[in-house]
Amino acid sequence: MPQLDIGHISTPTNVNLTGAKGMGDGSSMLAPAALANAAADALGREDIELPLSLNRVWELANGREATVSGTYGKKSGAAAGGLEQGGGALQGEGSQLLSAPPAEVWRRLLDAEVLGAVIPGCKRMDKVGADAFEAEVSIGVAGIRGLYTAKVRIAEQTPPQALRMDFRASGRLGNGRGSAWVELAPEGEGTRLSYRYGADVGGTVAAVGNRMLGSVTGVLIAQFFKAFESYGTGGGKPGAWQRIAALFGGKR
Amino acid sequence: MKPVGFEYCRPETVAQALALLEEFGAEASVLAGGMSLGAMLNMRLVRPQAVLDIKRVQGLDAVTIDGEVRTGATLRQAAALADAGLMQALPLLALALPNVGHFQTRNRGTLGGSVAHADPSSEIPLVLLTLCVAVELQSKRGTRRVPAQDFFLDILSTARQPEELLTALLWPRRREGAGHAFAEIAQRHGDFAIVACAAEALLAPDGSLQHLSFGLGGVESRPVLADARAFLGKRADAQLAREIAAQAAAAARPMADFKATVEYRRALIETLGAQVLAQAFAQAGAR
Amino acid sequence: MSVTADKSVKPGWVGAALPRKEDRPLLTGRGRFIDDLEPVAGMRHAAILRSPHPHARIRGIDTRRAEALPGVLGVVTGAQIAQVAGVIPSVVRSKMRFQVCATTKARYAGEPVAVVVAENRYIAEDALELIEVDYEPLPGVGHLEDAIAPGAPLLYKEAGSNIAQERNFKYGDPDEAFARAQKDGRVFKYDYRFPRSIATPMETYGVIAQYEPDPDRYTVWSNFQGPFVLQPLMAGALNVPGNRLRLITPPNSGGSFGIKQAVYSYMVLMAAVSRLTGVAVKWTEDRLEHLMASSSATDRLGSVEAAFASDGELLALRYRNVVNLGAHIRAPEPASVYRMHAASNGAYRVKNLAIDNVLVVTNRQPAGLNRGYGGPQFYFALERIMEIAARGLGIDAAAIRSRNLVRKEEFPYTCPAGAIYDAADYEACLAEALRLADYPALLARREQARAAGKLFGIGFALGVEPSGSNMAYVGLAQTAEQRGKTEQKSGANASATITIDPSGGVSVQLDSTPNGQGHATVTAQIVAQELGLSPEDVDVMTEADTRQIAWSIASGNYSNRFASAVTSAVLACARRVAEKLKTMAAEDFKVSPADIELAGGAARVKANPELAIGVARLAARAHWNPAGMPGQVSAGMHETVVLDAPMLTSPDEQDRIASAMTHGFVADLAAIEIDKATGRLEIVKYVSVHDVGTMLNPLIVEGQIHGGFAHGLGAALYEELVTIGPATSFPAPSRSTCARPRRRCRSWTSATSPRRPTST
Repeated sequence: MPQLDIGHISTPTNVNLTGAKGMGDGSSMLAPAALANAAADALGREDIELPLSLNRVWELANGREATVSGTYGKKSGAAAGGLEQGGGALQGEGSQLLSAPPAEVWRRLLDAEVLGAVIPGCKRMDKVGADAFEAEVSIGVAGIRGLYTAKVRIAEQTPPQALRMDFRASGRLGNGRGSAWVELAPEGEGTRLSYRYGADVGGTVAAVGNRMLGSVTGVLIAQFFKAFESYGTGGGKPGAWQRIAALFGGKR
Repeated sequence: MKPVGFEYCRPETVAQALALLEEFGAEASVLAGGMSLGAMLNMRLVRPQAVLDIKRVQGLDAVTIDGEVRTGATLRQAAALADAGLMQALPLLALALPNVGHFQTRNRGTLGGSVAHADPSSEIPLVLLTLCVAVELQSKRGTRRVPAQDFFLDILSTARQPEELLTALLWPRRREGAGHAFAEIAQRHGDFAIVACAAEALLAPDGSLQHLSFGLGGVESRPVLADARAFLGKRADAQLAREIAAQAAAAARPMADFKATVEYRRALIETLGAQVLAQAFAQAGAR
Repeated sequence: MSVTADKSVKPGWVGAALPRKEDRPLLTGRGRFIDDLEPVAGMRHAAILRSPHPHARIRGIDTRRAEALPGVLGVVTGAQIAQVAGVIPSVVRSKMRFQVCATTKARYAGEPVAVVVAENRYIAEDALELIEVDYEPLPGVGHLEDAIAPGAPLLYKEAGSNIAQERNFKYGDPDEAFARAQKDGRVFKYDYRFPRSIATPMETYGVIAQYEPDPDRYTVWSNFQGPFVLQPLMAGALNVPGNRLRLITPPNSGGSFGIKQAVYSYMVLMAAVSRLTGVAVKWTEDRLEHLMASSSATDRLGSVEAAFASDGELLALRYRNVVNLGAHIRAPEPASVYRMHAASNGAYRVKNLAIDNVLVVTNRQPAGLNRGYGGPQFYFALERIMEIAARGLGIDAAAIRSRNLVRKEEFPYTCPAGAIYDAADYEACLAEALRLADYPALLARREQARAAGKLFGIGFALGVEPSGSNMAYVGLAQTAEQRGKTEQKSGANASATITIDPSGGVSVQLDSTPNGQGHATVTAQIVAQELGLSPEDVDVMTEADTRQIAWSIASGNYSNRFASAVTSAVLACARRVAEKLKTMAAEDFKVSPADIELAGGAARVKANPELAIGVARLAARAHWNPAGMPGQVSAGMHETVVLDAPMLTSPDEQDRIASAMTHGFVADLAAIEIDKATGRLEIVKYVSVHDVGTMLNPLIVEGQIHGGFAHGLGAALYEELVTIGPATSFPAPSRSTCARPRRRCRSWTSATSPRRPTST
């Protein structure tokens, strides 16, 4: 707490017997305005929003647009349907070189048995329709792990080049929904798989684990591709982890 | 906010703890100070079969200083801070520890617990990485030492195997004449660091940079070392500090959360890093 | 009984900086809070299943697995709750009906959906995980812009809009004043957003509820702070007369800052659960529940326009307040919008006001009292536009305010929207703030800092602080015509009861529910002074019990009511007791009561202090020897005074209302420096000058000032309830507290070899 210099002027009221006026709200009503005024004066701009967090003050002080109050990850006003455009609080993208040719990669991507074997923590994977899967997946890192029921639907597809899948998951620790885009292109003998995704996450895991979501997703994707690549070869080759992780920007 | 039912086990020797770990494996959560695990249990983020409370394991908080420094896993952060000899031997840790949580949490929180938990914003793992500290892991099959750079794998993920117990941190002999500096930026003191920087620098007699270890915390999903090899042999001054920090900022792949954007984290690495490096250079030069 | 002005508070205990009586037990862990109470044998423990979705249809709930868990006594769903707890009415006429538990639809993440009652909280929480709810997630609206956009998903289809109400007010002739300013002066406009924050006291909500049949009777223990206007609403929802809903508060409260008003919806919920399960239940809110689903302050999208003459005279103000009430219009909302309404001119003499209030529901937790209740939002608009105008007009920020402040000689000052400012010296407060800050030196420092390329800024905020609310002000949410259809409302009663028992012990009972304001200390100071005793001799009961105290709808602890209203009831009551004691002593000594003074524990003749009789002895006489009492005094030594506030009249046809009894004043000045590279904002100077009238206890006054500043600082720099993605509402994280040892945990130590613990 910064030092507070307090002064008093006492003008007793005559509407009650004691002359005392209530005062418990005090500067709780005024400090937000006083500090915003001081910040506007210091920064030479009036578009001050609260709270004056480090990140926001830095943005304001460096001529940037301030992050909109009460939001994170995307601007307010984007419609709730923004997920279909790759919006959402949790976003990511990347690419991976796979040794199999595109047609084989495509086949495996839509094969419930393969997916059941390579999705990290997958307990069950059923094909429930031409383009729909249902799964039970144990998701998490370290000891933070929860069982989720997931529904995946292939919403668009151009075999063996591109697909979009929509997914929903819910479990004790939270729930989420989103979409992922996958593109396959031949590269050498194998396939370059590019992906991006956008998702919204709610529940306990979002409330207290927000800081971790992006990293955890990265870990899970890396595990997925590791297993995907080594599927049918009797397990990951030594050093596979390091090679794959390097693709995701780790400096391991 | 009540945990799931679990078996509470309170071993009194390392051997007992290892036997329990062998038995429960990944289904065990090891409880040291409980400053992170307690909350995670209450929120049911972790649902272990057993909680192994190692606070009463005899001797597990021992400190030995004889060239190498060895700190036992359950050494409390407050006890470490209060140990003048230890703090003199580990100046970078001495700079970092006051930033760990609050004094109330440091009274319970341990060095080993913080390392095993491996929060990407934690100060102690960052210091370990910067100083190339080795982590001692024991299981019924034996004891191994894992260097910090191989220990921290990812967010909350380490090289510790489920049946292993983190028993000690092994700090290398202090480099004679090295300068150390640590700084972090958090919204409030004790909050998770948005960016933390730690540095150890050694200068040649002519004032050029001979050795530099420059660690970043809170930036990626684990503490990382910036690559400073290209700067060795150059004159260690504020200008060089800025250059190294700028390169580290450009090379980093910062995470974004609702406290800080990628751009802000990068800017902090540049500013804070330059300050920390300049301090470390100045201190090393003064020796 | 009405108040007549009497400035004769004697010097003595009142005004002394007495350390708080409350502190020793609190600091030594001897406080008794709601969670410490075990008033009913066989009490069981409840846990609440809450919607994880901000907006979802509830298609079905299967509780069978949860009910089958050993240790579970019952599981009740929203539909069952609705059978015994009905809608809680709102002053806003709309189809947005508020029920304490979701039935077919959840409208915010954290909304109660079902309740488990079990042998202990652990089992109850285990059972929550076994309840299967078939949710159909719906698109939601987390932000005001989204909620009022065309085609927005609707929280209440039946209402046809997310706008619960819009009301427009005009006082004076704002249009003319703005036209004049456009022509000859300047008009300034500021669009702003005020974030959603929450006061987060150390202690969360707690409720113990017991239902007894034949006839239906509910007893509810809770750290409820009032206002007790909510008691009839709760009784109505539970469909019992008010005398069969007994509310009891614990001796101590771990803080509230307004937020423990909203525990009432959980009081109704747990009362219903007790009835449905047939056992007394206890529910203690945990920190995550508190952050998700207690009661946050309203966020606002707003605009404010100010019309100025070229000489800096403020001619008119125009406000547009778009207010986020959260998922429900939960009483007493929309009071946060109307608390400051009558004082919309702030501390200024401006006569012309236009105010548009748009009340909006979104998929966020419901709003309610949080420290300052509507004040931070209001003053953010007003004091930002004053500063903007000062810059625009090239007038110093202090000077432009000083130019427009209500002057000392104008009190009592009737404001355009009806507030009657009782007494203060605004100019003296501002001058004192400038003196304390050494304003000229601060300005010079700003110049130097700027010359050196630094970001240095000075900001002011001045505000009137209404206290002791007129219970009728919420009626402004209705039109005069709507108000005319029901019995008029006005005023605010306050009561105090003083008893002197047969052995001379003095006890005082208030109709306020303290949560940190030092009621016991200040009350003891006042009573001790009037009765010639020491504050240690006076026991102040801070538990409220609607079956025992003289309560009314205004009872409770909110809107700074204690100092402005309750202390006067205490004083009036103490004087009545003193008069009785003096009359008794006067008869003994054959003098007039006016010749008697109370001092040193005795009633004595002023002219001859040797003639004295102990207060305890006089009190004993009232119990043991009623026949020996003077004829002109009433029997007994048990006095209750109820004070009303005659100046707090009903709103008039023009929507003007005297909405509060007293109006303190605060002048704040902040000087800051910002580090461009890191965004760090350093407070170089913060000065706060207060006119609180009589300082009953300066130590407590300054403690409150520090606390209020801490909350203001939090809202300004740190706090925000963040929304991630579309309408997923959740709080910024906070560090968790430690848990108590779990009863089901098995403790185990072994000296030699490890072995599996055995079950207990």
